[in-house]
Amino acid sequence: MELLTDNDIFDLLDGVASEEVTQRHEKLCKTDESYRQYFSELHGLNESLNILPLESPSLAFENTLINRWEAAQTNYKIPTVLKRTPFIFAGIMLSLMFIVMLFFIQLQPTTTGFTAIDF
Amino acid sequence: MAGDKTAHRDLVRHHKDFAFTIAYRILNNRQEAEEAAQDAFMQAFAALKDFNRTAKFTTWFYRIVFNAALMAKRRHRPIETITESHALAFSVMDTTRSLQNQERTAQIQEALAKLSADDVTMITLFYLKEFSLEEMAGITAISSDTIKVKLHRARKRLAQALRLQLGEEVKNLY
Repeated sequence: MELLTDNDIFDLLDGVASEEVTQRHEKLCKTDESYRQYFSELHGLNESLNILPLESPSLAFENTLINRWEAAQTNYKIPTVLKRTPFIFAGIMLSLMFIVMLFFIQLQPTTTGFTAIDF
Repeated sequence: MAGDKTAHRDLVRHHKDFAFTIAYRILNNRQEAEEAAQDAFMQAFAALKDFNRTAKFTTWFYRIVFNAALMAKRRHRPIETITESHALAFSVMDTTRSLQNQERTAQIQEALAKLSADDVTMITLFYLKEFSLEEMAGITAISSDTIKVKLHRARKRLAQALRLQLGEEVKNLY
């Protein structure tokens, strides 16, 4: 008799196997000792996984998380103000440069007239 | 603001165990799992206003958890192996569980630790019984056609890891 694949066995364990697979399984259980052992192993694993408990984090988890979130929200406001600082700084520097340039332009000796070259 | 805080707390209370379990199974370390779960919540809180209300919240959120745990796994050192002290810690945590179940749980945790993050996630999501195969596909960004195959392979690899592990335990007895 044709053996069942692992996929067939998992379908059986999940309760979604076809009628044909179920019948083959029942026959194999009666006739094939090695199949019975293999199925029993996977069945045991499936049962254990079914009762594997849900884990719980520490008791402080909830408060730590809420505090972290609140702190992050408070800190979030500071960067928005700070975010403008480079622009303010760049603005001030550009203004200063402009004033300095104007100042030096004022100091430049001015030409008294323009002599056109006459060809 | 106070309403937001209450809503956030409700969200944490409702999802913390599932989020932590997914992260813990992937990372196999309680502290790192807590950090990953917290990071996931922080990301989710920050992105809540952009959350598409037509999508299912759990699929969206557990995808964040899955990614946060994967990121943490890539960042951190080799996985912590489950020792007898861990098994003892499990038993202290829940005295109502039978000793046999605790032992089996510790064995499975140890075998899960030997699998890839993908395999662990498949198994964890499936046995949490909260998600359909389509939702699992959404969380892991794997097509729904391949999710069942991946789940079957993951379980087979877990069975092999468990067999090897139990064989070694028996050898160590002699």
